[in-house]
Amino acid sequence: MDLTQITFYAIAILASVSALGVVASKDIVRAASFLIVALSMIAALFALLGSLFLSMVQLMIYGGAVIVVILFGVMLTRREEPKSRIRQLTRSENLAYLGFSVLLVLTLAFLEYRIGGLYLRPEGIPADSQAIGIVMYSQYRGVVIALAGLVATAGVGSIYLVKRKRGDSS
Amino acid sequence: MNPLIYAWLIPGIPLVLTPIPILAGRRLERGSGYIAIGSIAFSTLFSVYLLIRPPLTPAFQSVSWIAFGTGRLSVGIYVDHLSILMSVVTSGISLLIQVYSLEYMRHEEGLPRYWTEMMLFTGSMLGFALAGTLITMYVFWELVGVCSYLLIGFWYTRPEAAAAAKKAFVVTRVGDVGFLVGIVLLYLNAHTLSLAQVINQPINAVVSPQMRTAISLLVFFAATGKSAQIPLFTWLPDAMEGPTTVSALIHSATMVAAGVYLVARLYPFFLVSPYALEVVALIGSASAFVAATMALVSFDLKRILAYSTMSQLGYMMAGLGVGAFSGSVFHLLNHAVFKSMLFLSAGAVLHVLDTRDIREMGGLLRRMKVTSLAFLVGALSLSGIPPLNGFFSKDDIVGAAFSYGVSTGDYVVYILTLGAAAITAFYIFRAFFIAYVLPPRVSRDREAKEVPLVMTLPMVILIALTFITGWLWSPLGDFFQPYVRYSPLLPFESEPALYLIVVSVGFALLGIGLSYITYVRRTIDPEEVNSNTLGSALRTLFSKGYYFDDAYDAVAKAVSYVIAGGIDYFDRCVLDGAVNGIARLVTEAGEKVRITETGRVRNYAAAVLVGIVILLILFVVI
Amino acid sequence: MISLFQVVLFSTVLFAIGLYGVLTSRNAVRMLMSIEILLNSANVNFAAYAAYTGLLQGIVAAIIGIAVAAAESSIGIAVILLLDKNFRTVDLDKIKELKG
Repeated sequence: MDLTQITFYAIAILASVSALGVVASKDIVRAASFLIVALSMIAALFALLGSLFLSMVQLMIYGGAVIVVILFGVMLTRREEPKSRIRQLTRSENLAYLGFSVLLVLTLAFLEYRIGGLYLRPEGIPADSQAIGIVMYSQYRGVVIALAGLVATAGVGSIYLVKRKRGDSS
Repeated sequence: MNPLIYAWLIPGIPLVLTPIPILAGRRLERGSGYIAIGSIAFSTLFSVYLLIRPPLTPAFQSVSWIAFGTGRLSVGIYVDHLSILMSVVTSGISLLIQVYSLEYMRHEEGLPRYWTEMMLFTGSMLGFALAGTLITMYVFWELVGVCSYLLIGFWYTRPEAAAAAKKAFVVTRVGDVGFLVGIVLLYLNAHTLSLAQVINQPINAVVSPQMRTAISLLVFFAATGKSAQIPLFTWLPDAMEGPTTVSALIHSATMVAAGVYLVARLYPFFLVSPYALEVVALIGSASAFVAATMALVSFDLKRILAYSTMSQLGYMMAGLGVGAFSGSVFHLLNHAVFKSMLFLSAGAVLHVLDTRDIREMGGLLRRMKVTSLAFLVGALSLSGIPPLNGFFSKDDIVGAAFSYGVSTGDYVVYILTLGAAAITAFYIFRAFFIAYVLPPRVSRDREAKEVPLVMTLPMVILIALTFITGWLWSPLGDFFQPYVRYSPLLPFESEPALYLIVVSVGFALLGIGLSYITYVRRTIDPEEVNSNTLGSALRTLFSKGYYFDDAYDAVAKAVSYVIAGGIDYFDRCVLDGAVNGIARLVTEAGEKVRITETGRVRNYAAAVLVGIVILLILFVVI
Repeated sequence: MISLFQVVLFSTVLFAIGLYGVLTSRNAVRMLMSIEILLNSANVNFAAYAAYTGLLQGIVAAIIGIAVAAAESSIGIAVILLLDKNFRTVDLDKIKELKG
């Protein structure tokens, strides 16, 4: 049982539990918190699998943008008082949980940066940003541009959708 | 000039000029009448020319019209004595009546239409007379029927006139179907429709005698329609709704004679068709008798004359049936002359007194001399009193009926025609006495005065002709005989025996006498005759037209109801059922499918998942 | 060392959890979060294969997946906000306007 395996199992178990928490927790805010943890765990997994770039991207976008958006949605649509269906985590448990996850991710990042042997990556092809960039912008140029358009449209579109029209009561 | 050119021109001129009155009527006014008279005058002139200078052998000329496969339909003319005679009669009488119409129809709405229809009619009738192939005859036969419809319904705003026109067309149409079937059968068997071949070699044309009889009877069926014989006569009395000039021309002299002419034209064919002529004779004599009884009880002057026409046409048919070809054709000529005269006289009275009921007429002898004289002469001729023309031809037919009885032992035709003669004399003098002589039974407010020259002149001409045409039969009119002889090769029919003549004239005088004592002297009271049971029963029978009208009505209604009912059922239950059923099917299916539309996103997501799984399975399996 | 199978199994587990969440959540926001989990499981799968075959296309695919997911989540939130405005609830069982 080497470190890689232990790390992998830890990540896997934590991520699965968090995902379950997203789905099963009664309080929607708790669910959002669980989601953050799950996403971070997946970022850790990306790092373990050898692509730090991908894990950074994951953290930035999901943890930075998507979660914020979801939290806003949660906040703006909360209506009723939370009722527990399964045993909710207490405050300290919550904190411990969260802290451990963050720690894991950071450790992995550090280890990769420093030791560089923890992850699984066959020899020969560096999976760093430069290589990825080359592939993206040469082979998948069209897709990237389309994606850019998509994201722009989505952003503008979602703003437009929720814009208050003239004559709205609320 | 080649006589055949005349033969094409005679019907051609009126037909070609037909559209002019209706197209330019407003600008021409009286002019359209003159165009009609002018064109018919030309036809008359050419016809008379042909009369004087006929071709020595029947002339035949045809033009190919439709060619199909191996067959060919041709349009042609056939000029022989019979067709020349018919053409003279038609154009001459038409000319006189058009002149009469100038005054009679002067104040009518839609006059250009009248002239156009009259020209179309005359042209078509002439075309029919001179036609050389059966298909040409059929075309003109139909055209003549159409003109009859148009002219009867001239006052189309009157519902009775419109109904009468429709009835005339429909009833004659039934007969026309027979004609068409006969033509088709003839063509299938003989492969030709040209008269020259059918008349001159009838046995070669159609080999089987049964087929010949079938064709003859079918053609005769059509003739019963146009000539108002039993069973297709119901339209003629109603046809009196049209103007009197129309009745005079079409329904007394020319169109109704077309049926007789048709049988006469195809006579060689009829002669070699077993039993055909028997049927013709029987129906003709029966119609003669029945029509005379129906005229007995009518109070409508024109209707009386209409029944009289039907009766006289029956005489002609009976004459053809018993072998008196010359007598019948001669009677056609004579009848045209005196019957149109009778109608013109009646028309003058109608014009002045504005009524058709004879009870409202009367006391006209002094005021309307020419008109009354015309009717009297016509009545005498109709009754068969010498020296008028009716006597000669009628006697010939009755005599031939007697000979027929002697040779076959069947005296029915003789008895019917003789009886009809007596009744004829009775009813026509009844009409004369009540309508012209006696004072009116119902008071009237119109003054009777003589009609202008334009109307009296044709009557006078016809009076003269009534006296003259009879003598054409005698040795004086030697040159006339070829025109009524069936063939120059056959010996001319001998005059009937004197005793027969005496008997028939005697019956006629009996009729006149009875009429006189009933209506003028009042020795026999018609009211009493009507009120006793036999009298009233007979009266009802006669006035209802022997219930033919009611029978046809009932049959038509029944058939229509059955067909309509069947179609209605089909439409409602099958078609509507199908359409509604499909709609119902769709709605109910929709209701069932609706269940899946819960509106909940989760359900839809689950459905998507299920779909994906199925697709995956299919993907893997296939 | 970890076999490909284990990583892929993990991604399958995540997928199942996400699917369960999509199918059973009453709250619309929770459904959106479950969708994010689904997308992430797909990305894990991509990354796993990229790691084990050395092809960078897998990583590129994962990046594309992330971008799409982000776009989709913003639209999703917009829709949820509109839902909330119009129906005054985000309980999906209560929103049945399309019924029938």
